[in-house]
Amino acid sequence: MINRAKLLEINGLDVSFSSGQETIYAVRDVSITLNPGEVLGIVGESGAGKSTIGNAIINLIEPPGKIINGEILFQDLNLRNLNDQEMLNIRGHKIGMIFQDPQTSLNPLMTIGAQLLETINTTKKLFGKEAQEKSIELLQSVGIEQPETRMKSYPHQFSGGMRQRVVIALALAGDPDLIIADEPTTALDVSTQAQILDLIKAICRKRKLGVIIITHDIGVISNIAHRVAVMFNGSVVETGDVKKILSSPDHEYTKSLIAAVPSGKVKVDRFTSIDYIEGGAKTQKRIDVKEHWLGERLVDTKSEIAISVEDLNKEFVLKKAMFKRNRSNLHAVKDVSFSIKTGETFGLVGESGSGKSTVARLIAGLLHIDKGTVKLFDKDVTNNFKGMEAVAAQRSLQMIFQDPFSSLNARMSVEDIVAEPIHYYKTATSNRQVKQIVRDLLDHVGLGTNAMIKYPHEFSGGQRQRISIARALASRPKILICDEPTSALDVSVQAHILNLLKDLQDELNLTMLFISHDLPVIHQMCDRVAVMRQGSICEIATTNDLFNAPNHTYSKHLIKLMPA
Amino acid sequence: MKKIQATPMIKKNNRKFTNVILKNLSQPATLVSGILLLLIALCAIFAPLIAPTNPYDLAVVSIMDGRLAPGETMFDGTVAWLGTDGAGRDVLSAIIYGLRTSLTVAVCSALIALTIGLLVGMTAAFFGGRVDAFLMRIVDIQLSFPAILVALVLLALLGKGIDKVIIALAIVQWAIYARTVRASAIVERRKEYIEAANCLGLSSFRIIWKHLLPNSISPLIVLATLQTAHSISIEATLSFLGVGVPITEPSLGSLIANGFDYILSGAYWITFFPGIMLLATVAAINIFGDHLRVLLNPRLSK
Repeated sequence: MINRAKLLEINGLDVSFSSGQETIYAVRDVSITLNPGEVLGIVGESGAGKSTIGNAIINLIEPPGKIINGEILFQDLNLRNLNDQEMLNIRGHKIGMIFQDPQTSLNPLMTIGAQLLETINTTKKLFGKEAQEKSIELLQSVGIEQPETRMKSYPHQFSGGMRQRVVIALALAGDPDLIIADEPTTALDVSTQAQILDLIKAICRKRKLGVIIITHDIGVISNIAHRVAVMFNGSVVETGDVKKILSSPDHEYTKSLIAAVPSGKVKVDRFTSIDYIEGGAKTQKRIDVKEHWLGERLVDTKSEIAISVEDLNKEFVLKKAMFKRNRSNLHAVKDVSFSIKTGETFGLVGESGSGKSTVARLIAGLLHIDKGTVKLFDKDVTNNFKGMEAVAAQRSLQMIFQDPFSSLNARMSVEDIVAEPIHYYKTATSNRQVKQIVRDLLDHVGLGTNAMIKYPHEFSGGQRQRISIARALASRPKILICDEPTSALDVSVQAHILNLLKDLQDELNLTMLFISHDLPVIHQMCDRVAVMRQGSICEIATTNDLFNAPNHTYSKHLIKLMPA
Repeated sequence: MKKIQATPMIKKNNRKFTNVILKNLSQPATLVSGILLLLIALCAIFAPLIAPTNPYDLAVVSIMDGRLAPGETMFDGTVAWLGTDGAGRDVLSAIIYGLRTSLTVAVCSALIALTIGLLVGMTAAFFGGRVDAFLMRIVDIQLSFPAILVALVLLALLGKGIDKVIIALAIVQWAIYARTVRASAIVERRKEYIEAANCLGLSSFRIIWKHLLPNSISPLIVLATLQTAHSISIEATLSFLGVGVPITEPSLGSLIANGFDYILSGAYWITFFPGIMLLATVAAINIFGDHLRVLLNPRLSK
């Protein structure tokens, strides 16, 4: 089986997308090689062209995209010379694909058995009992228990990680020599991610497959790949052994990319040398908050405790019914209690579905509290956001949301978005002052005053998140709740946003509730952390204690899974 | 699967909207329907200036001109290009004036229905729960009756008159708008910018008016065009049945009804030409509305 020859060799690949008169090169002069039994990681930020390479290999580039130059040699066969029919015999047979979202890459109306059999019928020309046995064997090899019974299940009956295992089984059905995995674990939780990566690694070793892993996550690369190609703006800037590149990168881009990755081990004050990515350091005019409108406080609170939460409970109705026994509820938050000191950053960490966001929304008064109390600066605000006092309390608390694309009103200009709370509460004396404040705020969050007349769709994700921050600041909050503020962003942009949040906290003495599933980010941002699981808090500890000596078994488990 | 990512987003978006409009206008169907619609609207607005005669001026209309075939010359020397009806009125002029009545009824009723539907739908979507359930059941009941039946009953109660027809048509149509706007508002309401607005402590009215409404209105614009065409046909049906507009202000429907008595005796033009006009108007609005939907939804325009 051992084949000394290269499995895949790409030479001088150019892919362009043309729209109208413009032609944009998504991939420019890329050359990579892959040997059997080797895992090659392609890493880069969104727009770097990494997925395009994967699609180019299997000739699935959608028009107007086109391969312009270069050759793709797969087992000494130039894939660019094949016609559509010949390509069909390569895809699925010789090259398997694993996509990002296991939710959408399986047909929801077919049992997974039927989907596997269909693939085996076409790729291996096996039918009836043989095909049945083959698919059971495949499911077994990807670690699905009781494969005989699971064959009859539909995709929705599997969890995300299990579904991704099925997708891997499908990719293996044709006994391919090469597997291209495009962000295979991005939609999964940390613990599932670790399992899937282990599985891919094991399969690669056992079957002597070549694997190309395309990802934005350097943690994943360091975990699984033997060699790595770093992409920036369509070109490979650096390629080589993973350990060597991660420990001593040569190229400026790789250096700044690695510097921007939050570490779970070392706590840094601010992320450094991340300017390469966003096109050089902009000279940013910052305002002196002490002198500025932003620094004026309506009420000066002397309270030590900013947020205190006691026995918080929330149930969601899953199924309504006339009779009690037919009803079903989801107990999303169970007896959650904690308190946050003024000026402190408190982290909530947990996997998806653990109730972190629900806690944030309960505190912010966006959801009705079933049981328990929430106090902001010693004032009870439980389910009371109607009275005048509560209105003041509400303005002292603002939220930054996860999805920068849906958290801004698309029909309002940036100026209107930021100015809305100022106009609404008449906190400024004249329209000219409002304009000046908006200008200052946008400058302060690093957007520049030109942004005022534009609309949200003209900005990138990171810039939109800055607009959200400016909007939150415009109501002069004392508490900021950040609900996964950077999980939709690239790592370099994330570093910028996290730096900005830290700066603002120092200047304005903000209290922050920081929610994330990402342990290294929590490690960088927070003073104290609560670990949540299935609606309740497992452990509250200072960041240092939690990361060095976790108490609860679940925290230990989480910390262990954290990529190095 | 991820698609093209390497394109600079900002540049593309700036040009997108004008591009889409130009691309859509360059399609023959849109262009023809747009021009036709424009001509129809101009005809209706400037009817007294365009029509060769005033068909309702009793001093001009003469029974002597009754049932002239298309192209014949009337008593006073004007050519009746589309013939005359039984009472001696020029059919071309009658159509131009009839368009006026038909379009007034359709546009006014669409606007009233839109306003009511918007209020009801927005309220239902924003407050949800029992308010939503109550309002939507009313909508369901309203929509379970055939529109023409409800309109007939209403007009039987209210009597004749343009204003009455407008009221009847508005009552028939508001529920469709309410249901559509509720659906799109519910989708928007779950987005985070509404939560952000809640966080800012804005009043419900302001959130609905400034945030929810502008983001859920675009399907409604399309619906309004299509419903305008629909109400032209309903009005024509009602007038044909004799319960619509009064005989002194005929619409396309009453013109068709008017010629119905003569159609078997060979005077086809009295019914035929208003019928063609009705068809052209409704088709033009429908085609244009369909393309407006593509235009307002960038995802459909590839």
